[in-house]
Amino acid sequence: MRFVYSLAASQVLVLALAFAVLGIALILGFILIRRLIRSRYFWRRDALTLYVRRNWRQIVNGEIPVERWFMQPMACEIVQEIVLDRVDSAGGQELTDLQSLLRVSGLLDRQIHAARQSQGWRRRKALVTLGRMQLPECVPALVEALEDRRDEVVIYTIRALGQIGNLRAGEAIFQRISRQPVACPAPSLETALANCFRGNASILLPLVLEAEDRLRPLLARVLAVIAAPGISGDVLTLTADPLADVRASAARILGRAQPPGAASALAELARDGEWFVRLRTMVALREIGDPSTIPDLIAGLCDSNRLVRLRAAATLASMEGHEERILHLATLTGDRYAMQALVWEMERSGRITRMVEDLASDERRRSAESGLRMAIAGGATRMIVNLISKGPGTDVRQNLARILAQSGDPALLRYVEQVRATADDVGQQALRTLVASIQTAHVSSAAERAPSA
Amino acid sequence: MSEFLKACSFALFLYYTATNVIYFALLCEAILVAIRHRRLVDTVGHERLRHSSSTPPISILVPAHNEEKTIVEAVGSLLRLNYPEIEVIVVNDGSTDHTLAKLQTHFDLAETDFVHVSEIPTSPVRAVYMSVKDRRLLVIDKESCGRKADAMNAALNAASAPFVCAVDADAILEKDALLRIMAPALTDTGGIVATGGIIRALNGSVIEDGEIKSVRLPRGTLEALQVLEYLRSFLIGRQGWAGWNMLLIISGAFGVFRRDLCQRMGGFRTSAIGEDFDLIVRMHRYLRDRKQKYRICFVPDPVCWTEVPSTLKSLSSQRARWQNGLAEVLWLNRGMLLNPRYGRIGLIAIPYQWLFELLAPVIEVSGWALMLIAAVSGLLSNAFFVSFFVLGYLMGVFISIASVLMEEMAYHRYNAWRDLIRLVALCFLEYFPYRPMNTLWRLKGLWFSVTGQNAWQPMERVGFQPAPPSGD
Repeated sequence: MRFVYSLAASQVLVLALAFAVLGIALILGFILIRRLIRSRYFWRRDALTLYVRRNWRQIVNGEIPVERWFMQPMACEIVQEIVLDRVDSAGGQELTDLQSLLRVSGLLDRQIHAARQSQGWRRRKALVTLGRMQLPECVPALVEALEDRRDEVVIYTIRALGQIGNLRAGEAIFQRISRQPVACPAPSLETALANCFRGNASILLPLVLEAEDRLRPLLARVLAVIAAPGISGDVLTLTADPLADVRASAARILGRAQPPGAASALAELARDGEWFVRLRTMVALREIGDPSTIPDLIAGLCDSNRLVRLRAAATLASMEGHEERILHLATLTGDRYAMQALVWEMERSGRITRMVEDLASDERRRSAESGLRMAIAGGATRMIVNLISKGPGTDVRQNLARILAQSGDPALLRYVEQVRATADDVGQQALRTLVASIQTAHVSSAAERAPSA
Repeated sequence: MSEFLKACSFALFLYYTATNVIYFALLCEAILVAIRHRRLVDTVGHERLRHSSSTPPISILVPAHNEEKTIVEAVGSLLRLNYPEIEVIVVNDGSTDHTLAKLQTHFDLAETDFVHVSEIPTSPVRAVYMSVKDRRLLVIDKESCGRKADAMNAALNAASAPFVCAVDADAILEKDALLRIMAPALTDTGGIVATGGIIRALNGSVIEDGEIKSVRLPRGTLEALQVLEYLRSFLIGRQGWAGWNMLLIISGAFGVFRRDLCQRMGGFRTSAIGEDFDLIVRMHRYLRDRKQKYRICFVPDPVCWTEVPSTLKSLSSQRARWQNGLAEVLWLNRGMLLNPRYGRIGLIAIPYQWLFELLAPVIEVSGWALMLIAAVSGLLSNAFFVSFFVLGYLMGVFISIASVLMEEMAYHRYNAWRDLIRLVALCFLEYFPYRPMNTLWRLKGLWFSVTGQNAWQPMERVGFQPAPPSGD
């Protein structure tokens, strides 16, 4: 103990002190020198970037020879960055010119060489750059990289192929994942495949149908992203797939592609045992917007899963011109939560506000009144009181007041008084009409009850 | 007696050495993580995530209690975030000021009869409002039970997205913060269940329309010292622990969690003061009990700016509360301590929290007192005492300067030379006198914990005010 203690006091402590002082000095020195170097570096870089941007047209069309900038690392890097940024958004002749510059200048060859010969981070960076170039010539080098045994390289390559986004790149990814699983995050893989097969959903469909269980959910998700009307092939087969993930994607595909028989197939999927299949189905039904599916959506509104209920409500709320029928069917379910979900979505989507506006229209007043009565019964009372307090036109205000007063909600008057207390002058005046209507309704209902009493 | 004092001195020496060795190891790991993260950012393409159909929706949960000074700007900045699909759920947790009225006026709220299903039990909900101006905003007005966790649970009950993001009502997120914090979850195969972002001090920076226009170091020394402290805690501490997948804290001021997991676990524990810390510890426990593969990570560049205490009184109250919360959470989860069932969490991360965070104030204060007695009574060589003090000071300075280095190399938010010079100068003040004060506040928190006092003093807020123009 004494020995260790004496050691600690004398040598170790002094040594540690020296190291601490040295460490602090080194870090401080490093920070200062780094800042100075960086400020000089960025000053040079900014000046060079300005020069490149000013002479961009001459660089692209070759008036400034490639040799003048290609051999200067900083200039070369700036030109490459500008080209890659522009490739992302360019189209037509500009894109052709930029891609031609990449080919002629040697930037493409340099990156292909780096992707094949470099290691570690340099290689991964080259793979990303090849992807950003979006040139078909990049595909062979990337396909080679797909065979690398390191997961990280394969992930970068898949992303790059996805950016190039042609059919050949897609087939290369498909073959790679068919042979052996890759540790690539699902979103990256899906996005890459979707980019590659976009516009070619009919080519992907048979691959989905024939794929093994391991791949089918992934490919079906990709197909769901790129599906569009006119897809050829038997999409409806997917709705009977034993895998729930595939059935969920099938619902999305039907919603997007809308092949003949989609509505009835979706009606079937609306009764699926898996909640997320039903959820996807509700969303797909919204895309189809077929009023014949309203009963299925009403069933979804009473689903045991809250999210399915909310999606069904959102879909129902999106069906314009059918509010009255929807509210009527929802009322018949006797399910309070279902009704609340529907009214909530109708409020969110502005449907209630539109029904209120319809009160001013001679054609739509009757239907709007009926719809609003049911919405009030379902719980839209407060929303409507708030709408009245915003001071709509006299006719609308009086109609709304009458409808609300007839609801017979015992807590209504108290709530109206609460809102009135904080309302502005316009709101005060509007709510006064409502209070009068409610009081009149109370008096008349009391009078009606009196004889029977 | 003399042997006892010497043994204590030596034990304290070992304790300090261990603290610094751990911090040095965390620093090394944090540097590696920062390099890996930088490379990920270079390739992930946040713009692509923004436009990708695979990017999942997020529900942003904002508990607000007496936040009238900042709530409108904060919610406005959330609604302007760059992210494909969000819903913002603000919970007015029994505010006695004009928080709700301000929201009502600014966002044109309409009260609805939406049924708030309390899957996780909470205090009664008075009303639910939706914004007529922006359909993505939902406001829940509820009674307060004095705990933020209760408000978070109310928001969690209303959330519909697969991921929830907890944000404080006095915080401002950078525009790309959500895309950045979600990047690991979307690009990683390791089953990320929660991600934390970095919190930085808002004081002193220039804000316009709920957005940070210019980042500046706070003018006050106390606030600037906290900037340094946050840098060390996040860029070295959390980044390092996350690198080893042993992160135990994701700040409730800005963190993303998987909603289904939170709900399965029963949400935030209402009885806990440190509900964010408790949630992560329980997440580890829950997932390890079920032998699931998961990761809880920290992303250093999605920045959440928040106001830090500017007075000694509010700072001491905050630190005492944090320490109280730490004690409570560690006690509630004491079954994990040194329990091999919980792997590295039970054997390393939790014991570290006990020894180097919870008991640190007790060990430090008693250790220093004993050493002082030993030095004064001549039992301990004065050379040892002074050397030990100087060494502790220099190691503290070293770690603080290393966090400034991390900031310089990886994130570089404080660009002005004046700010850099001030930051470096503050590194020499942090260990002394700031740290002893902090130790005393933490000791007070520990005392509160032992005596069962949970009194919470709200922080005096000045709100988001544009800083006066400076000459730099």
